[in-house]
Amino acid sequence: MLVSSEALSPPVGATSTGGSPLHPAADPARRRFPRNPRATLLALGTTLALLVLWEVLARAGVLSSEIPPFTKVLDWLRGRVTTGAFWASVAQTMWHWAAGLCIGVVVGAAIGALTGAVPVLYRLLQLPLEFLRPIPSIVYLPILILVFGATSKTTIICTAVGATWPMLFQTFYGVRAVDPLTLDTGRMFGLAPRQRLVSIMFPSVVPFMATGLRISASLALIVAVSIELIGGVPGLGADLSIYSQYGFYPGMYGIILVAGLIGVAINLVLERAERRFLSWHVAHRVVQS
Amino acid sequence: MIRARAHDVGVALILPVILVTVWWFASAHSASVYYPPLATILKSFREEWLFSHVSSDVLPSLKRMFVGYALAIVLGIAAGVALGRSRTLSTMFHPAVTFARSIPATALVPIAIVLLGIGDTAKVWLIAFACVFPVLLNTIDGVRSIDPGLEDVARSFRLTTRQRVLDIQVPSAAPAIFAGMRIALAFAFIMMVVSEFVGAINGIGHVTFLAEERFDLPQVWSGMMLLAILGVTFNVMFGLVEARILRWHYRSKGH
Repeated sequence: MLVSSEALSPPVGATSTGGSPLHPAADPARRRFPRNPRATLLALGTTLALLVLWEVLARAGVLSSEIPPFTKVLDWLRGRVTTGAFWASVAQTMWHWAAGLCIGVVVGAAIGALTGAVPVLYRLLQLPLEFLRPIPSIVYLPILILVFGATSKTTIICTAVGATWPMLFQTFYGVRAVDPLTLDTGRMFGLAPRQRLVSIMFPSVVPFMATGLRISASLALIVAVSIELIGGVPGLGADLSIYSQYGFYPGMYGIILVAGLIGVAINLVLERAERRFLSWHVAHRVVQS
Repeated sequence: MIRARAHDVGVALILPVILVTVWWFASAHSASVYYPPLATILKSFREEWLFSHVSSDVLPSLKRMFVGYALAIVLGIAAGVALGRSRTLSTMFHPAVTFARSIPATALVPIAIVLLGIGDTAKVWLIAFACVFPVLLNTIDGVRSIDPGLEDVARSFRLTTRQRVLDIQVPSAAPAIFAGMRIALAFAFIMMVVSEFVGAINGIGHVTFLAEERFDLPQVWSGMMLLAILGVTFNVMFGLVEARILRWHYRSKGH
């Protein structure tokens, strides 16, 4: 079982949008799915049943004709993945996601660390940051489209802005959560500033930043696909928009399936990486019972 | 104490005042189509949003947002209590929930338009879909971390299931649920804006996007300004409501 004593003290799960930080030990995403044959069978069985239900209802005409049966979506997808156009769209979307995420995460971590560590900066920036934070980056889209056109640049800027916030505030809270007593102890033992940074600050802040990265990564995908969809910027979002305009339903559902799978993959990779590299942290420690 | 606070507020205001002043003067004689003078933007804001578009666009937007949000809260808490109480149920639906919450919800806008049109119904359901997952996951988490002692007491007093859910489980999970609701509120706002950008007959996002197509830059800016103000207002209001409803919790925590 995971150690979750800290998880008992809510609020848990707050993200970019305000209030309290997401403490690494209180992060719902860190709860693991039970690993035993029965659980796997139960989960797979239910998922399969849901898909069969979709198939049967669609074929029987219970669902509206705009919802194609699952197998039709799969058929379309099977043909589609052999085309270069499909992978070009996926690559475009992933490029928007990765570029926006990188910029946003670097900017967010920098501002978060500075405001967390330098009280004057915090007092100066607090109000503007708290004001800007609840504004979704999509709000800036109309002006960006006019200035830069419906281009990758617009998409990346919007994605970067969206990805900045979770990272910024998680880093900020992480820096603030460094135990002052441990820092003092380090100072007493004559650790150099660099040593204090590496051995005391980093281990405390990095788990918070890992959570920030994960939230930023999911948010960046949402923003990137949304901008492509609204602006018609080449990528999965634009494909979706074209299919819906021409009433090509298997394509619509196929793209959504792909977008969902990319989202799952991003989450899975980041969670795995966290578990691997942060295995020393309390939130990942496993108690033998 | 009060003087110290006044000092803090003074420092906090330095940068915003500088930024707005710079914006005002730098843009005052701006000939650029894209960056009209701030005065022009404010004039557009006054003319367009105060209050000619309030009943025709602002209120419909807000109504859709809050109906969808409320729907998501009810569904999210109900499903969250069910999944949080039953290991079997949560195991069964784990893949489905994981997949559904990974879909960028905005990608469902075209589907909702195809199935339900560009009216209120489609938007309400879209908003509800996007918002349900944060509430659901946090409710599961909150319900699972209830003090087992409390449950034992409830059972000893022979509370009915209904009483146990409404008087023990939901209140105990409330702080976690509120954390989820705060995230959901941001999602609701994003979905409201996006669904109106893509296809609508009215709404703040719709008006702003029409202005963009007309190349009416002052109105685009003022529309964005209104959206920004709304985003901030919702956040502040949520904080107040949360502080009021969870007063007992924060008190017991000594905040």
